Amino acid sequence: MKFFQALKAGRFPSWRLFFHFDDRLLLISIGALVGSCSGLAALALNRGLITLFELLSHYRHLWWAFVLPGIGAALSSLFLEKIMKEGAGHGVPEVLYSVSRYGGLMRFRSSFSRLISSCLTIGSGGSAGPEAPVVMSGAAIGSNIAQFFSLNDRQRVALVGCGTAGAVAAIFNAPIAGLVFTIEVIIGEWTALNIVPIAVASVFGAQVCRLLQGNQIAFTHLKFNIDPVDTLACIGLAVATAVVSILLTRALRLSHQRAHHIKLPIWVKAAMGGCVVGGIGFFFPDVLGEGYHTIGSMVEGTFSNGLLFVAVLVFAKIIATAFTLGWGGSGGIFAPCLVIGSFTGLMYHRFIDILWPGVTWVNEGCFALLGMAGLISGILQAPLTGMFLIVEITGGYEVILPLILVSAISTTLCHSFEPASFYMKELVEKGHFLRPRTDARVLADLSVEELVEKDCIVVPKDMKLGDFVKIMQKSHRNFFPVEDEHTGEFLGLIHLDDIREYLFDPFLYETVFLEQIMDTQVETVGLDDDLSVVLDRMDAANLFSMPVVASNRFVGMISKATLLDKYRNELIVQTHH
Amino acid sequence: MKLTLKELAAALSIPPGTVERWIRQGNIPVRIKEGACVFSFQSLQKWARENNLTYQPAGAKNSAMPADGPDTLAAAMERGGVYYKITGESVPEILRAGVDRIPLLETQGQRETLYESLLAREELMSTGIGKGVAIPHPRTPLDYGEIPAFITTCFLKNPADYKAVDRQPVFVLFFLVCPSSKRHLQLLARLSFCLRDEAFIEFLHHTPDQADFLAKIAELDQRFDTP
Repeated sequence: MKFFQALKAGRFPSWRLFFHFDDRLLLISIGALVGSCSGLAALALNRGLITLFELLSHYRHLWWAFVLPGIGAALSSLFLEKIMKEGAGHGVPEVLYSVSRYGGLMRFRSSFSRLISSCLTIGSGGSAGPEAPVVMSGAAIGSNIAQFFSLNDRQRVALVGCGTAGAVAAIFNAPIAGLVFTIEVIIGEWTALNIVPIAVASVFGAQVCRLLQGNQIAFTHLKFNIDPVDTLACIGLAVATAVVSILLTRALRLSHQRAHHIKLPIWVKAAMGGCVVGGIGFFFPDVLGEGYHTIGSMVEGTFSNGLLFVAVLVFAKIIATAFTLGWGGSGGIFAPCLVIGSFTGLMYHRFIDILWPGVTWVNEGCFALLGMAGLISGILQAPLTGMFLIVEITGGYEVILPLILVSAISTTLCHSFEPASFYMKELVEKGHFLRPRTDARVLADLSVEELVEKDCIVVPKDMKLGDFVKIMQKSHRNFFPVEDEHTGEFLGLIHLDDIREYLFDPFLYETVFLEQIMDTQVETVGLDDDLSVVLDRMDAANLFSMPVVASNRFVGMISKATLLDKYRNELIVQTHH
Repeated sequence: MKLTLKELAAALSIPPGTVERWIRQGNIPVRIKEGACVFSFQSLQKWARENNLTYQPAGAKNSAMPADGPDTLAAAMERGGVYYKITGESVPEILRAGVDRIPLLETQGQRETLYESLLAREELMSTGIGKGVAIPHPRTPLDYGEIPAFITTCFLKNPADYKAVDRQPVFVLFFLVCPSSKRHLQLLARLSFCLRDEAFIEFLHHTPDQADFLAKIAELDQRFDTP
């Protein structure tokens, strides 16, 4: 730590020179550090999960074992709620929210809170994955390191990406998937400025994992001989995975809403959800935990159950996942997606085998792989992540053709039913999903305060029209706000267009007071209003400018003309790299 | 370079709030160090150029300011001079005599163009605006380069028929020559403000000497500026 503090304070002149030389070098160096740290975090969670799962496996066969996931989920939600004071949720939307709204600012405690809570949930048998918690802690590590070096928002977001990439790369031992997932899902901006440090972090994350755990791929690499007919059959599989993806998304949301309406302490709900999962797991042990072991046996083709059983498993896993995550357990959607995907692939394989018994299909393991890709692409609506992840975790490149096909079709189909992906849905609904270089981003960054024009002449309500005409000659604006000269309160607005006909009648000069001719029914804007809302109101009322009023006092005018000017400035500045 | 946030915002002609946010977001090559904005002049200027903005430090801005602020009648009249006992029976004769007096015009060519354009304007419609006053001026601004706007005041020896709108003989002429229409309107507005004042017309009838006349104009200028 001392070393870093000295580094920050610039006590090493050559280092400072190096960093000032180019901030890209700085980002790459810190990115490597972040990648390594988040790789370590990923490994820690992985080890913790394995230990806890093994510890509890002795009790699995006992009749009361179904309460284990309940206890785990309750503990995990108590830990998050009472000790860490963080809401439940699986992590990725939280990271997206922070990147969208706060330039990647995250709390230090987020870098380990989800690791512990998800370890409790999943280790005890809850149906969830370790990836989203690892993503969140990696992101928090990146954000806190960026804060330590007092970097700006753009650099901090890049480092949050580095943390994410390092974590995903380490937990799957899949550097490209880490990079692609980060860019496609977390950052949403493909520029060299982001990609380079994130790629480096990915490398470091994966390298840390290989150093400590050996270079092993998650699932055994098998050789598949894929015929054109298999590729053709994949179109059907893509439809199946899309349907299952939509089912899973809806089930998750439904169970979340149901749980939300039950008035019980959050840990009691988590315990109830966990017990349901435990109950399902009692009959179908394959749905418990992250489920990588099950996937392994399916890919290898040693999963021997029939079509009906597999179909039931798909639904059992969906329900178990919905009860785990929707009712307050902590964990990610990634691993359950992989499990459900491989179940779906297997089910589809069994199904077409019965339908066309004469055709020799490729090994069922291949369909399990493709099913995983289909589900990941469908749920995350991130086709590239689906493709690269599956290629990397299975070490097989020969499935790439059907893989691309399944990913693409599944994403497209899901998108037409669920326009926003599972991660982004809630953020989009609340207007918190702001991708770089979009209209929403620019409007969210500009504030009313930055746009307000203060060159209006404020006139008192008791002024006579004759005096007003003189004032008018000095102003180059068409709007004159009227205020109470004693209280300073904003009363209304005079628009030249409205009073033009009276202006040339000297008879009225001495008889009309401004109070009588001002428009009191004006729509006003507050300083804290969102610009998108302001614009909507302008469009609705067909206005080109509106007065800005704060605590009953006139501040200035906001107009579309200035907005265009500033909007353009902002867009150019934001997209210029 | 080191500037405060406000100075930097003024140099870029952007609200300080925006500049602050850009620094925070990393959109501008400026760092905050001990409350001051630290940046390299070259990189900021390059950045401004690339982003369709201009970086103009406060000093440079003032010197580059065009002399387009409001002019006063008194200053313009002092430049143009006040002349008495001008003789002439007809419009061309009076104009010729007036143009010959203008001190700022250096060459005969300049006098000739001015005379012709004044005459053309009179043929269109007399500039005798009534009450014995005429304001001869060219129809379009005449830009003599270095010469600023001026008003040359000429009191006639004998009031002459100038085809004024109210048919009254003219006794005083204000030659109004400006390099731009904006300046022309500014000065014309001030002049017309003075001529609306009956007391001022009465004052003119007494043919005041140059010092008295300019003092009176300066006084009216001030009244014009304070509504």
